[in-house]
Amino acid sequence: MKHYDAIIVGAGHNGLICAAYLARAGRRVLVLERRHVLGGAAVSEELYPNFTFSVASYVVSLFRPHIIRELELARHGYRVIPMDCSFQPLPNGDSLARWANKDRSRREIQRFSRKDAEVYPEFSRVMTRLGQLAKRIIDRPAPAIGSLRVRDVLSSLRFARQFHALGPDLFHVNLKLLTLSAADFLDLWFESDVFKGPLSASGIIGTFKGVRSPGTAYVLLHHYMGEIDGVFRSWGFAQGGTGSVSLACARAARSFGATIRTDAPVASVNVRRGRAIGVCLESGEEISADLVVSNLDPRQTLLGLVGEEHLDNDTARLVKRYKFRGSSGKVNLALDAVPEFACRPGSGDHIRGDIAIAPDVDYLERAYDEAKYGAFSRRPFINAVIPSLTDPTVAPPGKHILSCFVQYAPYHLREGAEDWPRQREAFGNAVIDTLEEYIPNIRDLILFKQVLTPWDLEKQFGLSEGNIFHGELSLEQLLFQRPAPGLAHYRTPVHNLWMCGSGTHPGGGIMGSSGERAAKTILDTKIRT
Amino acid sequence: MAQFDVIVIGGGLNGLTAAAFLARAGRRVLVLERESSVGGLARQEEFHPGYSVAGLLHATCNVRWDLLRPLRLERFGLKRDPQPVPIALLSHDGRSISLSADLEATAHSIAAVSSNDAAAYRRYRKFCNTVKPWLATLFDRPLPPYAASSSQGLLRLLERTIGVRRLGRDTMQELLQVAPMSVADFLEEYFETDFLKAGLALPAVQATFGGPMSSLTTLNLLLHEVTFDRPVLGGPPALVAALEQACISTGVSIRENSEVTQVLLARDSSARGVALANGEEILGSSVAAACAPQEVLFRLMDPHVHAVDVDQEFRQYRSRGHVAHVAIAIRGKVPWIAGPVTYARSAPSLLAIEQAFDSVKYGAPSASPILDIAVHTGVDNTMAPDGHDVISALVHYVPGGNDNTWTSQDVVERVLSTLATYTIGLRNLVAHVQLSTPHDLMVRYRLPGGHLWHGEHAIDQLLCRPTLRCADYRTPTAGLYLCSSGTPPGGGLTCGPGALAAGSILSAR
Repeated sequence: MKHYDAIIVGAGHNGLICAAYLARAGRRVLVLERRHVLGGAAVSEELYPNFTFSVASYVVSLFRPHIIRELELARHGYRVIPMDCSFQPLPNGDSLARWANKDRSRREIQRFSRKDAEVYPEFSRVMTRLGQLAKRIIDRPAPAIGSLRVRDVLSSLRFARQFHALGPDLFHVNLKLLTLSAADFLDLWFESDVFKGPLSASGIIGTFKGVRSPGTAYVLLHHYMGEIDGVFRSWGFAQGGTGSVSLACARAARSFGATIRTDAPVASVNVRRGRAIGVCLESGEEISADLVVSNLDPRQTLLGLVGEEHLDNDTARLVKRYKFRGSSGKVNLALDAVPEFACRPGSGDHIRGDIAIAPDVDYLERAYDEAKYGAFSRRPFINAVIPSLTDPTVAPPGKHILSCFVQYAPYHLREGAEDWPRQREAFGNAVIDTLEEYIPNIRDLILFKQVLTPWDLEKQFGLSEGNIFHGELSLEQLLFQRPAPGLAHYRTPVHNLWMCGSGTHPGGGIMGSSGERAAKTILDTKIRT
Repeated sequence: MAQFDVIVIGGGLNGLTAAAFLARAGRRVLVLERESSVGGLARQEEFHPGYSVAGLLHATCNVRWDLLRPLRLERFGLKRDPQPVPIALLSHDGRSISLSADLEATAHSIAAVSSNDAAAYRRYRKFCNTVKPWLATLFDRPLPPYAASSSQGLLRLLERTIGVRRLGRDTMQELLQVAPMSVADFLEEYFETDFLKAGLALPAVQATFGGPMSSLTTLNLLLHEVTFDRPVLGGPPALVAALEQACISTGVSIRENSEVTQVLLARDSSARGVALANGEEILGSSVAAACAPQEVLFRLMDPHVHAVDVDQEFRQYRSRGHVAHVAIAIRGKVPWIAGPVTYARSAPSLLAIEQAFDSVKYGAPSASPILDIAVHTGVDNTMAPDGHDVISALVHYVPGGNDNTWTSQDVVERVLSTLATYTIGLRNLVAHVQLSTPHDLMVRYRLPGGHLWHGEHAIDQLLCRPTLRCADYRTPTAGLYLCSSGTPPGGGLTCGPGALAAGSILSAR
């Protein structure tokens, strides 16, 4: 039987990063991927001849720059093309575009509210300041609040000091940011409902909450934490699709000596006397290792790979309590030509960034109202990108890809999640209908259409309940409570079984932090024991 | 020369409580009340000849007895109900559950509907009791988030930290996990019966602009549960009367029909007294405002005297009223399907509350309102003519503004049809209905936004209530204090803010 120092289950970007760090430290590492492609939800696939789709995750921003440096990802093909614009078409034929260029943004916003245009730079300044704080939190292990060990108390104090250093006023803003709804928080600053639309929408991405739900404001920070090439608050496309981020991570891992196998689905983690000793593949093959790191979400890892029989009651209860509730779907389109918006025709810069169908706050809230009672939104929030405009490698000349992130598509339909295959077509149509209001000829342009419901995301990518972040990013599931108290810090109750997916701190988005932090914690622990 | 040490603006529960505490410590205190009698939102009022309501807020189960103890209100005739008066959680199908401070009786009542839920309720209350000692005091002494910058704050912070450790690791972890949850998620983990979950959830969503599916509402529920106790015998008017007696016996002057129109400032910008509507000026060394915080800052003072940041903070204080009050005079006894009821909640399910909340987000009243009911005649039969009843209810939800797409009559109609579900032939017995929308409440009671709790109960507004700079009952104006529901620990008939504000005022001297 083959033996490794570490086996990583799942070759998502976090798994690959974790593998790379462990291999870099001299460990013999094996990565096992169920599918034929690498990347998990950060994957590029040619779904239609000559069109490369970022099937699931579609933009990059939060990826931590030090990971790029430490793993030399640039050398391995990591390249991100920054997006310059956020475009918001409106149903009344108007539109609003926010640009990287502040003056240009200001002129646009002024048309909706002079006051908002004035306040916006100050808002950005405060948010950037708080974003920096958030990044420091992400780049460290989550504090072990409540633990009385000297090391943990000190880390908790450091954690508290970060907040304290903000001073009373910023602290107060931060308190509101952490607890308010995105809409309420933006109300503190802005008056224009149009302007607040797409801003508030960034608070709900991937959550089963509405823009008026408390606890959505802090996600706004994500837009002020992005870094590409050291430039703050920018989003971008990975050249060659999101999958190329994963492939760069994979190349880095291999360069350090890691072995990566695809088409190798893991059936279970072998546990003996409370210790993980290796894995068993679906093919029956057994591979042993000193430790096993799972890139899967906590439910798949502990209830799936390990099995409840190896868990104590308390752990099982906490894992079951952990909430997923996927709320979004994806519609990927191959188009015959540039999709032109009636309100602002042409293929100019305005559609080279992200495009938000989020006309105002109430529109978004109404979309959520439908989802609360188990139906997909008839008029959903759509965040669309046309990566082929800036990255010609993903589509043939003159042809384009329209990649639509769609919310809400609640995993738990009123009729039950298993009804999704029956409602998939209707869901896809609702999305196209919505797009058609802004791009009148969209139907004529469609060469190929892929509709991914949360049900499909679960089946295809192994995302429990289709949650794109491996579990809701709600306050009780963050930091030292992600995924649950006692399960945080990448450890599990099974010795030598670790977790490195988005279901661990800090979770969510293509950040790479979970993989990195898990690897560093593992290496740290090894040295200590 | 000041005539009084402290002038209290407003004779509501908190104004009276603060006054009683201050006078007990030897201060010369004057309470100025705009209406013809004290009591504020707990004041008994005749809304139709012969029919009265015992105040807009009717629940006296959350009075902070631990804080009020020094006043020894029992000397002034205050009695707690020996039998905890149950709150009936009503179901559409005629079933009901009696919820009270008596655990055994409540569990027994739940068992008739679901034995699982009866067991779950014991676990639920056990958890509430475990966190009680810590949580009940969490918002008592305000803990400014920048506490660590002052030694006093640091001490309090330490106190809290030690307190939370004392809960034990498991309880602490559980509390940290559940407090940020939505009350719907939290209660779903315990219970299976819809109308039980909804009935329990209602207090968590009354003072906050959110439905049961909103995050952080569990914290509100827990704060309610840990202070839930036996009510006052005789309801809110009895509490008002006892406090008034306590004030009078310690020498507090109470002047009714005296509307304060201005807080007077000395040359050094400290408060030196108040001016009344009739032009009279009364001087006092300090002024304690028991009216809503925004009222003091923006109506009783020239807004220009405030620094920009103070002004902005107050404008950002959220008080979107979304609960209306209805008083109904009934010719005869209310024909409840569930049998005689004194307090009741009509919430069929968590989804029904959530749906009721949905419409208010867009400025429309709920199609099927949820009612928090008190039949005052069950507590005090002098509220209505012999053999007649009065229903007083909080109506969830009615928006603060009105875009002319609905009328009060629409709301009344919906309230009556909701009541019709739980009664037989009620409509024929209705003698009079008086609805107060949040807008009416705003005008009538000077409640900003028509918010009965003087500001939303959201965690940021509970931690720094009403604002960061005024979270310790003080204001930037020397000698001017706040002591209303818009200060910690928040709204409802608790007397907590008055008691704690008095402490703050006394320690300042």
